[in-house]
Amino acid sequence: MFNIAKADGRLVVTFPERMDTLACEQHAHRIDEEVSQAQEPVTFDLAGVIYVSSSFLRICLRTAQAAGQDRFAMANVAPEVRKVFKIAGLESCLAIR
Amino acid sequence: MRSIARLESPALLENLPRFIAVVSDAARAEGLGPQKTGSVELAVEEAVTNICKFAGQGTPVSIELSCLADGVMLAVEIADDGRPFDLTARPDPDLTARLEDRPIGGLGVFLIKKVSDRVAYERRGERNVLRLEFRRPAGA
Repeated sequence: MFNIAKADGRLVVTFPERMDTLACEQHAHRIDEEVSQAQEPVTFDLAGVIYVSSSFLRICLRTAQAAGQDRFAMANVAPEVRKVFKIAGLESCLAIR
Repeated sequence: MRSIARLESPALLENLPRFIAVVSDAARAEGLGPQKTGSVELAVEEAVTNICKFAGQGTPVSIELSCLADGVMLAVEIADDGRPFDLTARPDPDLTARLEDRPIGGLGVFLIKKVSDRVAYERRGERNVLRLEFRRPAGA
């Protein structure tokens, strides 16, 4: 389920099972808005996410660039999702746990 | 190869789930397995999204998607009557660039090339025809 909340000094974003093009179009604006106003580091919690498209990679890139590389992390990334980040060459430049 | 599924629909993002459902069912029916089925869904989503966003430039575009299979491979042909676009000719993004230098766009086409076993493009008359091939994994 999509949610944005502050927890343990971080802005934590959770997502639905499939972050495809339509889901990204639905949520991108709010993410951009919240990240631009946040003072805290940002975590994308991908627990339960099993599918991402390039639209989601773009959201991650944009968020990491806006927040700063050392203030953005991704947690609970499933192997099939990690594979997409790896193919796109983003595994090494985004903090994926 | 035999035709196993076909869908023709306007190139609108709201129709994307219908295209994905067709190829997902076809991949499962051909026994491609969950990982390969995910690759089929991803490649087709990226290709159809590109057409919906860029092929028309204000003019209505139609997409015809066909699934063909021979027991060894699933081929997905995506034809559209939008402006000519050969994604196989697009240069790959620089994957070594630093995060702050990475362009936001261009990853969709790259993903199509990487998750498909073969990608071919041809301009047939007034239509773009993109053919994506996916081999059945060994043991599947």
